Amino acid sequence: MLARCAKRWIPEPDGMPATVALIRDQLRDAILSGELAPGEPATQVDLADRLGVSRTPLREALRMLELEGLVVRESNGRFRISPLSIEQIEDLTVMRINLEAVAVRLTVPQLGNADHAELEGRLAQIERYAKLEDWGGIEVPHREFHRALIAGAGDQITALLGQLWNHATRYRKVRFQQVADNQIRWDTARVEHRAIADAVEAYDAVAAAGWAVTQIARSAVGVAAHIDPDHPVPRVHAALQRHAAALPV
Amino acid sequence: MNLEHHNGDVVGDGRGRGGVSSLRDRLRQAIVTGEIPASAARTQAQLAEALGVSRTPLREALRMLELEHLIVREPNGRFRAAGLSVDEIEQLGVMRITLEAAAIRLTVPELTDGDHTVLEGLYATSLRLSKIGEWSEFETAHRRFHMLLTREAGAMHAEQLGRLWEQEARYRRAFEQLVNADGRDELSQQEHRLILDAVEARDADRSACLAAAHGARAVRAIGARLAPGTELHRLAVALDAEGVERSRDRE
Repeated sequence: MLARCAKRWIPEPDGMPATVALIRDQLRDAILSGELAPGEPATQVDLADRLGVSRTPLREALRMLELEGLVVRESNGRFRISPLSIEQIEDLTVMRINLEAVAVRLTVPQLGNADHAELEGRLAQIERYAKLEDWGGIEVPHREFHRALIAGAGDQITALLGQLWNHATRYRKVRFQQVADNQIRWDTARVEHRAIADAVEAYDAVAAAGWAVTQIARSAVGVAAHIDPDHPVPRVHAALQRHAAALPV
Repeated sequence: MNLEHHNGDVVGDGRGRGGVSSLRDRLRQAIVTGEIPASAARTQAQLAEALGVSRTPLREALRMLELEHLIVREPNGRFRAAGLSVDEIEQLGVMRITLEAAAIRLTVPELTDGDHTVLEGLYATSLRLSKIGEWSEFETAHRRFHMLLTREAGAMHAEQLGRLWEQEARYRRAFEQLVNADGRDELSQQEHRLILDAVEARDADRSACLAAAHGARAVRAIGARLAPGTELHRLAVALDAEGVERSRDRE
């Protein structure tokens, strides 16, 4: 499911063979789910075996994922699944906060009653999945909810934000492995999602952006503290401060 | 400078000294005006005839423009213009302005007196290069200036900025002749001076806002050529998010 969603965020270059796109999506899915672990060597022979594909389209797919930052190529030309680091989560979050704030501001004025109803539907789905403790299923409406908040910014902007979302997903996977963690996570998210939807429905674009980036920042700060409690992320706090300063505490 | 002026006697047919490079300029014009369409591919012979130039320098000029991602060579060997759209340049502008301003806010407090000296050097060099019209070297110095201002961005952030710069460079190259002829580059240099003053005063916020306004103006100049009269309201929202006052932006 997630792979299908992820795919829609990335525009297809003209003339790309369908097999390459399929392999790329399959690999991306495996990386986002953690099946291919951060830092793991991605040898072409091994991957070709596991996916049952030939090596030429596989190499092409790996190169595309390199552009998305999900695999890295080492100096000897070998591929590796991108490792996670506290520097990267900070870097990535600064980018997300700034871009998301603009994208939400661009989108909110364009949304109508039907879009608002759609947002409410996603929130109800999130509630349902949380009750069922289906932490895989919940990602689908969650992603759709956030996608709808930025959909009016333009295809290139949403594509970049989609890639950044993918990266953030990998970090969240590391952080939220226990059931108890997930319950706390979604209890907090519920409050933020409600505040976002209320602001969107009131056409308060600045407040909606503020709440959206608050959620991004809060989630990243939690992940960073989990990776290394002694490594603060001041850049995240500073970026948040700029975009969420106007929110009521 | 109007387009007709470029169509005839000034540029020539690509023969003789400097033929290929003036032909390249001629082709850039043709891409911008749609003489070389993005929708239909043309053979080299068709292009040579349509533009009234000879085929040997044309082949070379097409190859150069292919490297600049302004011309696409189809698998059957025909050529078409890579699409340039006001929608794309505006989105690129929004992303670049936003990510660059964020990076500048991170970088300005960290820059040393030595860095300021390097920036002054790059500014003086690019000023001279723009005066004598050495645009490819100008582009290099200009890029280094902007890169130093964003040095403290993380690896992923810096990589994305580099990519956006490249994508925007297509548009800058396409509009090089037109934009320079408008004297816009003088304005651009004045903006660089203001940014540099704010950087040296270690005013991160002002530096970021000035850089955002600078980026937006360049995108507007291109947008006005691509689709006159189109209002780039997304750029205005991006500037607003940076805290750039509307009045300054409208200048």
